[in-house]
Amino acid sequence: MFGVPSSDGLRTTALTTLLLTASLAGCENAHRGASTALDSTDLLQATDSMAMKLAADPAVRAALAEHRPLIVVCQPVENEMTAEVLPAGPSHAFVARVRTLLSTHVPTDFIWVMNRDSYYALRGQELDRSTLGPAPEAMNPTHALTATFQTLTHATKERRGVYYLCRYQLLDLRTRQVIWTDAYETKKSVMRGFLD
Amino acid sequence: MLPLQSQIRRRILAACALATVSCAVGCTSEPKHVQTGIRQYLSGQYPAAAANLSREIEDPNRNYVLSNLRAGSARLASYDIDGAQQCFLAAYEVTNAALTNDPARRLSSVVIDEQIRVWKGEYYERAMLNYYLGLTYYLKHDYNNARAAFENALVKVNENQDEKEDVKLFEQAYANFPLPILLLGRCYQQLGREDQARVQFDRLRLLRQDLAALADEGLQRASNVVLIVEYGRGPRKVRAGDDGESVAFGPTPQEAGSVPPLRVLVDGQLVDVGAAPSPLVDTLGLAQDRRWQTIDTVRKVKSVAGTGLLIGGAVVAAHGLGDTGGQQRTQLAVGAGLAVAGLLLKASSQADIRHWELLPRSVMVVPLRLSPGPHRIDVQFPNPGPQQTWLNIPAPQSGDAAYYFRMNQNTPGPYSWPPNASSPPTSPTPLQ
Repeated sequence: MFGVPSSDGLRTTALTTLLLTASLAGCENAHRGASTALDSTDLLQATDSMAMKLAADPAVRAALAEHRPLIVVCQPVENEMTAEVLPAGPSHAFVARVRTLLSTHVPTDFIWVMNRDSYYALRGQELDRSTLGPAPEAMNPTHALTATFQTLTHATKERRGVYYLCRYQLLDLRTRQVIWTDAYETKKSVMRGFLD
Repeated sequence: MLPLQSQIRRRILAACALATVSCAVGCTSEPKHVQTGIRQYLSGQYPAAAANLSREIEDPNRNYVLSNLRAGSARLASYDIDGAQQCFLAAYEVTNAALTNDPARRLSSVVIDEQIRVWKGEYYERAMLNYYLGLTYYLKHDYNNARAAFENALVKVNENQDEKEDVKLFEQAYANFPLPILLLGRCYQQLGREDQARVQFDRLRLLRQDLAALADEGLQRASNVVLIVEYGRGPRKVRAGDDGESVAFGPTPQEAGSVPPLRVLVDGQLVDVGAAPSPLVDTLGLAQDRRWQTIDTVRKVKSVAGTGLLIGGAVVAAHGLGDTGGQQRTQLAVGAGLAVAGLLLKASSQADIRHWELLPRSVMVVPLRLSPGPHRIDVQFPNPGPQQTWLNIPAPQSGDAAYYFRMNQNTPGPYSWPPNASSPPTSPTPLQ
């Protein structure tokens, strides 16, 4: 009964398994596939790298030596990418995480000011039992942390490749000087498969 | 008499085949509320359609993209712009990705039923998705993301062909789909990048002589209100061929007739829309540009092989009729087996005809220069065409404001701006 299966038996088992697998494949959840979009790994790598470089930059240290803490307003990422949409969530997250890392690791160096749009968006929600503090115009931030993302996108019928340049800047708002700038670069590519 | 083991094996196989067929049928039928939602949309009941079609958008099944597109269309027509954007964004992420069908799903799509595959739409549907995503950003004045989405619409409309292989064909696809190019130009103007805007308007003029007046950058810059008017019903995908193994789109633009001219009245006065006479897309025409794909070959081969097996089965069975005894039984059994296999192959060669039924036939863009303040705007197509009236449409002092008009016989209005935003999905409020 438990002997070596016959070749006929093997064929039947293989065909049965194939049919069942194929029939069940249609009912299971579809996965999202491989994408060229920026993902959580990029978020961590880009923001870790930028926060570290900003905090250690000689020009920033010099500005801090002159006036500590710097009052910095954060702007969401400006999307200058070609054919790549950057939704509001990632657009804020790619700057907010730099701010979070800096406020955790060098809490005395920077005061972070909510930007104008975020302030009025929050005020628009009419939050009870919370005061949003003075309006952004009254805060006079001295510096701005901005980010601009650009891409070279190349799409053919076989593949889509995107080279990302995520540029961060710390601007002195009084002199309009860029006191620090750096970039995170990455390249992503996906090959299209059958039925794509 | 067959041995017992062999009989059991055959029964298991038969049961599996039955399970496979029933599973395929079960997995490929549309839920009733989706069918209702589509009917409601087509009859202009947008909020009800949005409610029904939105029930499917969270389910990450093979129809995830299609469900989000349908819900996005209904939400946009209900003026739930954020909700529509959320749907289009979800669909955008999947259509931009590759390898969305894992090997098991690919195999089932080839062996059992093409409808098992994750639907990502034809190239014109992907292009229209990106236009809609861009439109939702444009309506919210997020011109950078709107620009990116319109650029991606141009990528998508040509995604199935190589520029190096046939430049003419490549350019022809743009000429048939100038809508994102015009809106790209407007985005660049709003972003203060006049040089880039000029590139787009020049490109538009080169591609389409008949749109030269609309591609005037001065006209576009001067306008503070832009109407996005959608008319008619897009293409329907149907099965063709003896076994339904091919796909066809209907009606053709010739069958449907030309798009009637548009009339716009502002505060009761007829506006000269001479600059915007031609539709910027005719989806009926775009659909006809569909190129041959590998899956089409697979279906065709299955259909031909199925026919071959049927004929073979008939020949073997006919031959068997001339025999006697055990040989006759064997021949008849083999003939029947071949015929059944042929029928199964033919049945599984049917084409996947899922499509985005809620697309309009055409889109027109009407730039207007209006005095700041509220206006009454009437958009009309000649009788018996649809018309729609909106009151209190605000024209801004500076910048631009875009207004979306989904024309339908059953939505003449008058409606009052802003649309009711208190109970999503929002809807235009008919004035009694």
